[in-house]
Amino acid sequence: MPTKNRMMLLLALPLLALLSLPLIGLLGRSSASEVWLALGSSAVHDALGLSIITSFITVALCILLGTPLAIWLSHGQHPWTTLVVDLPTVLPPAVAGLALLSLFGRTGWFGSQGLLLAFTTTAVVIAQLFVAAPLYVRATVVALNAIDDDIGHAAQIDGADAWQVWRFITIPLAWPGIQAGIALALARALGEFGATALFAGSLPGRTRTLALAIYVAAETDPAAAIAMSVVLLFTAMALLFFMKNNTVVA
Amino acid sequence: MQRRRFLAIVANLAVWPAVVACSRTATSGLNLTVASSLNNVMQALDKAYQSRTQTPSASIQAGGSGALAQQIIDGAASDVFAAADHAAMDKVVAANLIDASVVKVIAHTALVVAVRPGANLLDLAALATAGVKVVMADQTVPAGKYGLTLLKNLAKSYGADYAANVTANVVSYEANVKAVLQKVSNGDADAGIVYASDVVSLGDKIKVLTIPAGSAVIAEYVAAPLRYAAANAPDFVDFITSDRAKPIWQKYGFTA
Repeated sequence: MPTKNRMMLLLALPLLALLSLPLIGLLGRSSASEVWLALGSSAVHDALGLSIITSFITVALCILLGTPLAIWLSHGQHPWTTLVVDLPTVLPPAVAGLALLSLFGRTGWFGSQGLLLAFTTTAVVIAQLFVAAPLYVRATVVALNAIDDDIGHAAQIDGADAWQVWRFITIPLAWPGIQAGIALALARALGEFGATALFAGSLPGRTRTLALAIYVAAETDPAAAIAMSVVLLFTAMALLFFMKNNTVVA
Repeated sequence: MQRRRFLAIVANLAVWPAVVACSRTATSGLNLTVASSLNNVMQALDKAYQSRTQTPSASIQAGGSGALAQQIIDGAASDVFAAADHAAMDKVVAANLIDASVVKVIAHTALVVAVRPGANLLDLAALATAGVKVVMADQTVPAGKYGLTLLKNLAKSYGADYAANVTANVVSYEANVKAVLQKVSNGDADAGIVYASDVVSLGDKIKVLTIPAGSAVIAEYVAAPLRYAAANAPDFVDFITSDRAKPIWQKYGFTA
């Protein structure tokens, strides 16, 4: 078994290298002083703050709105709904932005009724939700499907009501998968760029998230862009670490 | 089973950028690296150059001048670099990839205000009215710098508060001028500051407010062959600065 696993690691090395080396390269190109400088600039403060706040709102909405959808999807076959949920994850970001504009832009369905969301922080959250929620829903569905129904039935025979089965059996058993979904959604929201750029615009303090600030800086000031990328990288790592260690079901 | 399918989707997403990167068609023509606002005119210029010299068609890489300069410095294959301002060109010259003596001014274009059809904006003064949604390029890119200069120039005619009132109406500072135009042409913003050459192809999809001569801001484009470029790269730069190329520039809203 250990030999077989070592073999797997050997086969996995190319991908592992592809995933890790660019980030290491990014760190190699940045200097501590530049990152420190970036952390001190108000533009980075605004962008980082906006990114963190909108990402957390997005994740909260994912859980609030995505959990019922995931539960529904986990019962029975729903190929069309599954397709609808999967599509945003395979769309190029620009398509997501254009799709959202077709709804909330000035000439869009809701936009033409007076619900103008383009250029607002709400638009940032909606763009993030559009691309991040599918990841949460998919992970949660997979986690729920993996649970053996017999466990819940056994508990019910022993007198547990539906809520108790849900609270003390379903959620704890599905939790690692749900947690992975939350982490994926958070990471995706934090990194969301394309749909935001098209749909929400790029105004410092209101719609310019860190991902957008990096894109703007990359045009003219690559050093600042790299420093901000490092800030985003560590923020994402810290948030993922925090989520892993603090979202424990009591 | 389902988890495996999910992982397959994730793996697919991971290789996507690689697939896109590989899909660039290979040609033996020149590699032109051009400011995004030059994309259309360069295609036309290349076509004219091809029919004159019987060379294969060039492949054109368009983007923000600053980002393109960085890509060239990072090793992107390029024979000719055409930038929207001197700063981007200077970066490549400083990296010793272009000889400063071969850099040529290739064209000019004026800044204009693009207005969404149906917006209640009759003149430049109306840009300062509260509630008008204005989009500009970010001040870190040439179009954004020029835009701020333009507002300052216009303040001489429309009052000292003009520039501040217009910038208070700005709902987005875009990373490039094409994004500014896109937000105006799809109707989400009321007005945007762009280049005259950007609006030529849009016809009545957009209204244009031209700037009085006294306040006009003119952008200057420069181009040069790379130091290790294909042999005919300098010839191409000569061609686009020749009298023969002038009508093409004009057709696309530039003055050459």
